Amino acid sequence: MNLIEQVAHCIEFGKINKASPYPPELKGQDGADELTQMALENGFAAEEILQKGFVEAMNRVGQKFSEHKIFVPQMLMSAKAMNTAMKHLRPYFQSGEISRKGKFIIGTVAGDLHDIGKNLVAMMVEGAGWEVIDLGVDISHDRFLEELEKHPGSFVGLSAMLTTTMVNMESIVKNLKEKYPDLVVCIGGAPVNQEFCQKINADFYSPDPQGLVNYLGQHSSKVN
Amino acid sequence: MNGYERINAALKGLKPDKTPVMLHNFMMAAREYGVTMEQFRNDPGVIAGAFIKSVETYQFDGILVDIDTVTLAGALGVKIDFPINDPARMHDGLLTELENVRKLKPCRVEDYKYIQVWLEAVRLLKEYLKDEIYIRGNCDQAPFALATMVRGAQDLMMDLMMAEENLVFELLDYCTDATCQFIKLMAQTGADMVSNGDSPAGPEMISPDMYEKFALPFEKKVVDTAHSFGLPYALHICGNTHVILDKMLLSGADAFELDYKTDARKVFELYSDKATLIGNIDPSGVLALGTVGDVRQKTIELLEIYSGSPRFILNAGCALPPNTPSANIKEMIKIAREFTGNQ
Repeated sequence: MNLIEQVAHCIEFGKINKASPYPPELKGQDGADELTQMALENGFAAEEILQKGFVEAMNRVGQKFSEHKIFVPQMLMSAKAMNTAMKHLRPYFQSGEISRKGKFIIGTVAGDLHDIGKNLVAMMVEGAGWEVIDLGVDISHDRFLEELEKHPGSFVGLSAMLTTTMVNMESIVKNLKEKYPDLVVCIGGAPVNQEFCQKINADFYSPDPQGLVNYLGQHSSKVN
Repeated sequence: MNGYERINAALKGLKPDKTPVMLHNFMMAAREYGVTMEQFRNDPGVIAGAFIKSVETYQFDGILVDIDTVTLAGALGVKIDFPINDPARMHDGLLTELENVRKLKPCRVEDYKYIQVWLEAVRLLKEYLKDEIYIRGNCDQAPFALATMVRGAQDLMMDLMMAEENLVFELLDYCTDATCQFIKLMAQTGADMVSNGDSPAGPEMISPDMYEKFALPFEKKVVDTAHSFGLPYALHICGNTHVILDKMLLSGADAFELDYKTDARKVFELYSDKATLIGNIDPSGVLALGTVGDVRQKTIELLEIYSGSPRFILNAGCALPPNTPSANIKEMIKIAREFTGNQ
């Protein structure tokens, strides 16, 4: 395997760095963190590392998750591996050498403090080459509007984990679209489904992060 | 039959005279009683009053006494935030390092104010309603779910992959003790049944193998505790639980409260003669945001699926949002009462 293939392997199987004991078969070996740095030092282009190392690996992870072959713990390990290695590529995004595909503002809706799903989605979308503005949890429509003003043209993602808070998505979608009629709002979370998405006039629902990554990929536009 | 008798029959696999109904409606009950969640969680008289009014308004059979989903976590020292108009919630876990599980002090759940409020509310309800209406004393989180709160959900998920397993089991044992303490206390209130939620143990989060290793053994201990007091037990897991329905049965729970994402047909196939389904109408998409027509359609669909088994109690699949329209709940119950297919 060349260095990029090794980076992809580590991300796919959740090997964060050398110190990480997981997965057992890679214990003591370099992880995504070290290998990404080595790949850059060995002259591999940052864009190539992103596409062939990170994106392809996370696509495979996302696909396995959609097919229920892996679950949240394994996916988290992969996302952590990718996220840790991403620090080596961030300067290349900042310089413009790697173009972002777009901007994605994400938050867990007002009243809800759950963030594990949101964090996974945020990591995967960033790994797919988007600039992610993660607002955190318990986010009202005002806060989303504030960020949309700073980052026009962004896509928005709403997350909820409870049946009692997902209903807040309706008013958030309504408020956001009143100000930005062309805004694309994506929703997700354990209690949410496609029918609910249509009912509240959101634009996209996916039961898993990969579906959202694929959808955003169809709508991306390069930004600096 | 009265409400108590109807629910009792369904739990025992005996034919009730009509479809029994239980509502997961604590937030809706508080709103209709005209109180904030802050007033609700602090006063057992208010809790009891809200549920009594709800039973009088809607004429259902069983009250699910639920107040907050982080009460046990609070009893264990997790920092809790108490909004005025929303249920209590937690931000971060208590254990920044899993190794610190060994430093956790033995807990006495009964010393926590909100546990005592909860218990007193159940006592008041039982005293008032006697054996007319069935009282389910929910006991907050099952051990795995509680462990996600004590450790932080994301950290525990990574612990399952990376940490020394014995430490994970120590945390789960600690949480099992807390849940069992609550069950024991609830048994003394006169509650007719007890229950816990274990949604983080479902397939939306962990694999069936992980469920079998890290959740099921501890659920069994809790169920055994409930049974040692002669109480039936219900286990609540949200999301699509198809792939663990068979394993969940091994917990020994008498009833399973399942969410709308679990196909009732699959539940019927596996459970119809073994355990009672409580559920599973979509609380948000149908009951809160749907039309009366949507409610009618979904309720009839579900009743028809379960018409071949008496082991069924109609409910929402999970907690009803506070602004659920009264007309929708009335329609669901009306359909249930009129349904003649449940033979």
